[in-house]
Amino acid sequence: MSISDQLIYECGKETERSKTNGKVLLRLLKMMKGGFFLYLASIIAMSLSMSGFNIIIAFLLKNIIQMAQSGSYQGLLSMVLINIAQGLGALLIYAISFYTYTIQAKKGCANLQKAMLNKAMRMPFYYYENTHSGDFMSKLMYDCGRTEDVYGSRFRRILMPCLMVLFYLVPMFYLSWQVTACLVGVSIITFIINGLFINPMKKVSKELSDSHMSLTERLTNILSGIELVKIFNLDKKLVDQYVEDNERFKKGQKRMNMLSAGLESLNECFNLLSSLVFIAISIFFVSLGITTLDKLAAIYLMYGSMSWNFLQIGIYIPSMANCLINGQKVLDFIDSKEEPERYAKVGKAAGDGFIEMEHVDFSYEEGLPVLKDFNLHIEKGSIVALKGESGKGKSTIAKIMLGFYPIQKGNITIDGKAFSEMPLSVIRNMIGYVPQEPYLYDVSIAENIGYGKPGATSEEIYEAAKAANAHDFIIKQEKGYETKAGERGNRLSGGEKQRIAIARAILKNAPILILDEATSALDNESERLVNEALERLMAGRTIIMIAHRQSTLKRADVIVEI
Amino acid sequence: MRTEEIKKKNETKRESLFDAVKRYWYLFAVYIVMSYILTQVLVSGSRRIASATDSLFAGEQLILSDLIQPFLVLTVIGTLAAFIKSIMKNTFSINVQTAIKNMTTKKLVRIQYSYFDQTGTGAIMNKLISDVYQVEGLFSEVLPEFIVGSITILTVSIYIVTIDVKLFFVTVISYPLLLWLANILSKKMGKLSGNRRMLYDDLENTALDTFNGMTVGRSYNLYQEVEKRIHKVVTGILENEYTRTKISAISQILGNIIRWIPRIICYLFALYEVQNGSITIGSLLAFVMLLDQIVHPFGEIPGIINAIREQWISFQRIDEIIKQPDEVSGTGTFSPVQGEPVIELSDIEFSYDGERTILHNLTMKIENGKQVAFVGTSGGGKSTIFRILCGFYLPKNGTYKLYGHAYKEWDVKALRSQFALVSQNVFLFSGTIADNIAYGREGATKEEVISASKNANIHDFIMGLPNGYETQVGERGAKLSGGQRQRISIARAFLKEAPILLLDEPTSAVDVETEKLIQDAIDRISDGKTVLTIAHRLSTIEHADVIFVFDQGRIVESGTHEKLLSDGIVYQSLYRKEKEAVNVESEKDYEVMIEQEEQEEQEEQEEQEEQENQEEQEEQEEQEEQMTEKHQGVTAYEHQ
Repeated sequence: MSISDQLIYECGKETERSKTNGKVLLRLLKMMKGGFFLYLASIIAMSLSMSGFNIIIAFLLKNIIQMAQSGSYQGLLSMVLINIAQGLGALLIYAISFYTYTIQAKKGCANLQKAMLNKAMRMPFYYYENTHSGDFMSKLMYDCGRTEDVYGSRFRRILMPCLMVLFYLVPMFYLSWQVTACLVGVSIITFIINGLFINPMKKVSKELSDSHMSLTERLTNILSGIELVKIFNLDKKLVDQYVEDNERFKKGQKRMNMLSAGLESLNECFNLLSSLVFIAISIFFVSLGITTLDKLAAIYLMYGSMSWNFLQIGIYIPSMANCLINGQKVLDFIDSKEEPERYAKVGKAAGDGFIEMEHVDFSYEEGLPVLKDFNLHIEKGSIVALKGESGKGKSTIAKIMLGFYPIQKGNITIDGKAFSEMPLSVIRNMIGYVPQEPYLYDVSIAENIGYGKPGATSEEIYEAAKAANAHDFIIKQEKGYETKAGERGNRLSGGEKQRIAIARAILKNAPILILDEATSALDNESERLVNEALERLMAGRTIIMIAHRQSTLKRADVIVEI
Repeated sequence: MRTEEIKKKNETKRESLFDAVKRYWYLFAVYIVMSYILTQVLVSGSRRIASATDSLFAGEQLILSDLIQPFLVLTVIGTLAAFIKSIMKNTFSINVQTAIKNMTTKKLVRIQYSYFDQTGTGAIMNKLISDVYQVEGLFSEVLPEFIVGSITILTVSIYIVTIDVKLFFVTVISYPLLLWLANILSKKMGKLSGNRRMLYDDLENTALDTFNGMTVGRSYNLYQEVEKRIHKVVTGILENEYTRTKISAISQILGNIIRWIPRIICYLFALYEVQNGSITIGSLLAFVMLLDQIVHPFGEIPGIINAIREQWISFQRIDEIIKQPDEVSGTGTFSPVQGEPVIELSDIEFSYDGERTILHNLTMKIENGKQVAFVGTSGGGKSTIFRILCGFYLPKNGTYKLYGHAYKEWDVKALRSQFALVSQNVFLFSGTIADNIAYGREGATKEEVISASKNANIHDFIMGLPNGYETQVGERGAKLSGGQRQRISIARAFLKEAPILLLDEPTSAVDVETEKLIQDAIDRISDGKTVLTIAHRLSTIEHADVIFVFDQGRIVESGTHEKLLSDGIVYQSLYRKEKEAVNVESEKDYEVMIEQEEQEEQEEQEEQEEQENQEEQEEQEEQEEQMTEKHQGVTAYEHQ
C-alpha cells in the first residue's frame, strides 16, 4: 500500500467515523424516548432565557453610556427597574428549564445504566466465561460514565452555545452590522481551526480508553488475588506491571496534552484578536462616525458572551467526539448478540426417557471436542450420577442441560419435548441447579432464597430455609433473614452458603435437579447438615449428580461414566 | 526500643496524596505565572482602549496603525502565554494523576489484609477508578479554573483601583455577600454528594453481582429479579438527583444574580462618577470591559467551589487508602534452629470484629519436618490460624513465634517466604498459565516452570492445550476445572520451595481421580517439609504426626490418629460421623476398614504408654514455656 493509498484509506475511515459518531448520538438521543422532546425544549428555553438575560444587560449598558455621553439622566430609574424585572423573568424561566433539563438528562443516564446492566445479564454464556470482570467493570464504569456525559452535559454544551450565538447575533447585527460581521468572521475561523483538532484528538482518546482497560485488569489482579500477592511476594512484580502500563497511559495523555495545549493557545489568540484588535478598529470606526460608542459597548458586551459560546462549541465538539467513542463501545455492547430465546437446531430424540440426549457433539472451541456422540437416557424420578475425570465434560453436561451452550450436533428431549420446542426460560424453570460454588448475591439472605420463586412469601422462604437446615443459623445472624449475604459472602461459611443455595433450590421446586459437586469442601458436621438438606431437596425429583465422591455415587440409581 | 524506633520511622514516612501534588508544584507555579501574564495582557489592552477613547472624545486624530500595532504584540504574547499555561497545567495534572495511581497501587499491596475483607472489592475498585477520574478533574480543570479566576479578579481589581478607588470599593462590596450565600449552598451540595458516591458503590456491586452470579441468575431465570434490583438502584440514584438538581438550580440562579445585581450597581455608580467628573468616558468603557472579565470568574466561583467539594470527597476517599496503616513488619530474617520448634503459638486469642472471639487461648508447638493436621467443625477457626501464620491478621493476645522469633521481629516478607499455601479456592491471575506458575518464584526459568508442573502432575494437561503454557486463563480460571486449577497452584508452590507448607482442604473440591493426582503431587511437595493441613476428611490425615482437634475456637484434643481414636471424644464422634457419611464403600471395603481399625487399635495400645510419657514431657515443656513467657512479659513491660 503506497502512502497516498494509506492516506485515502485513513481519510475514508475518518469520514466513516464521523458518520458513526452521528449515528451514535442519534441512537443515544432516541434512547430517551418521549423524554427527548422535553429535553430538547428545555435546552432551547435555557438558551433563550440565558442569552435574553445577557442582551438585557447589554442594553442597560448601552443606555447608560448614552446618558453618560449626552449628560442627561432623565428616565434612569424607570429604565433600571424595567431592566431588573425583565432580568428576573429571564432567570426564572432559566431555572425552571434547567431543572427540567437536568431531570430528563438524569433519566437518560438511568435508562442507559439500566440498558447496560440488563444487557449484561442476557449475553451468551461464553461471554461470562471469557471476559475478565475487570474488563466488564471498566466498560460499565468508564465508558458508561463517559456516555452519560453526553446526556448530562456534552450535548447541551454544543447545542446551547449554537442557539445562543444565533440569539445574540440578532441584536448585534441590528446595532452595527459592519462591526458584527467582522467579529463573526473571526469566530468562524476559530471554529474551523477547532474542527481540525477533532480527529487527532479522537485517535489518542481511543488509545487512552484501551490502555485504561488494561490498567483496570492489572488492578483487578492485585485486588482479587491479594492473598496470593502477599504470600508469594508478588507485590513488586504486579505493581511494576501496573506502573509500566500507567506510564504508557501517561504517554498517551501527554500526546493529548500537546494537542489540547495547541488548541487552547490558538483559541486564546483569536479571543485576544477579537477583543483587543477589533475594539481598536471599532474605535477608529467611531472616529469616522460609522457607529457610536454606546452601540459599540453593547456589541462588545454581547460579543463577549457570543464568542465565549462559540469557543464552547469548539471545545466541546472534540470532547463530544471522545464521549461518542465511549458511547459506541456501550452501544456495541448493548447491540451485541444476546442469548437466543431458544436453540433452533436441536431435534427430537428417539428414546422415551424423561431426559434423552442422543448423539450429542459439543465443543467450546472448534477442534477441541468435549462431548462426542454422547448419549444419555434418564427415567423420570431416577437418580443419575455422572462420573469421570475432571475436564472430561461432566460440568459441561450440566451447562448444556441448562441451555448455557448450544450443542453442535445431536438431539435432546426433556419430558417428550425437543429442546428447540421450548424457550430456554421454560427449560430452566424445569431445572433446579445447585452449583459447585454457591453464589450469593449482595442482597439479604431472604432475597437470596426468594430468588428461587418469584413472589415467594416470607413463610415460604422460612419453610424452605428450615427444610435446608438453614433457618437456625440464619436467625442467629445479626439481622436474621435481612442480613446481607455480603461481599464475597465472607460472613458465611461454605456450608452455610451451600444450605442457602439449597433452600433456594427447594423453593424453586423444579422437577429436575442438577447437583454439581454439592457435597464438597465441608467438614463432617456441616456435611451432615447439607446432606440432610439435600435428601429433602432430592425427594421426588429426577436428579443428575455431577459426582466425585463414592458417597455420592452410592445414592445413584444409574452411574454414567464419561 | 527497636520496635518503637521502627514505629516512629513508619510514622514519619506516612504518605499522603499531597506528596504527589508537592512533587510537581513547580509546574503549577509556572502555570500561575502564565495566567498572570495573560491577565496583564488584557488589562494593558483595556488601558490602551481607554486612552484611545478619551483622545477620540478630546477630538484628536486617531491613526489606525498606531492603534493596532501594540494590540498585535499583546496578542502574540498572550498566545504564547496561553500555550505554556496549558502545557504546564496538563503536565501537572497528568503527573499528579499518574503519581496518585502508582502510589495507591503500591500502597494497596502493603495495606493490612483485613482492609480488603472489610471494604469489599467493588468499593475499592470504585475508589481506584472513578474517584481517580474525579481527582484528575480536580487537578486538570477545577483547581486551575479557580486559580485563574482568582488571579484575574486580583489583577483587574488593582487596575480598577488605579482608575477610581471609590469604584473599586463599590465593586468589591457588592460581590462578596452573595458569594457567601452561595458558599453555604455548596456546603449542602457536598453533603449530598457523599451520599451520591455511596449510591454509585451500590450500582457497582449490583453490576458485579449481575456478572459474577450469572450461573445462578440464568439457571433460576432471575431476569426479572435482577432487573428489579437494577431498577431500584438506578431509581435511588435518580431520586437523589432530584434533590441535587433543585439545589443546583437555585445555585445557578444565585450565580447569575451574583453576576447581575452588582453589575447594575457598578454601572450606575460608574455613571455617577462620570457625571461627577471623577472618571472619563474612556475609563468607563475600560471598566465595563474589565468588569466583564472579573464578573465571569465571580459567577463561576460558586460552581467551582461546588465541584471542588465534590471532588475533594473523592480525593479524601483515595487518601483514605493511602492513610491506611501499613502491615506491621519488623526487619529480621531468621533461620530455623535445630531442635527448636518451627512454629510456636501461645495463648493466641483472635477475633475479626472485636466481638465474636474466633480463637481462645490457642497454644501449640510444631516441630520441624512434622506433618500436622487440623480437624474439626467449620467455623472452628482452623483457616484463621493459617491467616495468622501468614501474617494476614494479628492476634489480639498471645504470641506467635516462627523459628523461635516473635512475629514482631520478623520482616513480614521474609516470614511469608517461609510458607507455601495451597487452598481450596484457587485464584489464577489473568495472564498465561506459565505466568501463573512462574509467580511462585521471581526469575523462574521456563525449565523450572516445566519441572514444577511435572511435579504437580499438570504438565501433560498443559501440553495438551492448543497454546500449551502460553494459554490465557480466564478470570478465576473459568476455563479450567477445579482440579486443574489446584494443580497449577501446587506447581506454583513447588517453585516457591518454602520450608513450611500450608494445605487448606486442597482436595475438597475435586473428584476421585483428580484427588489421586493432587494427593500424589502433595506427597511430592511435602517431602522434607513441615506440613500443616486443614482436613475436612479424616481419612486423608490419618498418618499425620499430630492432629489438633478444634471445636469453637479451642483445641480440645490433640495427638496421633490412634491416640485420638482411643481417647479423643470429639475426634471419635467426628470419625463416626465420617464413617456414616462414607457408608458407601462396598462391604468389602468396609471389612477392610474394620480390620484396619482393629489393627490401629492394637497399635494404639502399644503406643499409649509412649504417649503418656510424651504427655508428661509436654506438660513439663508447657510449664517451662509459661515461665519463659511470664519472664518475657515482664521484660516487655519494662521495655514499654
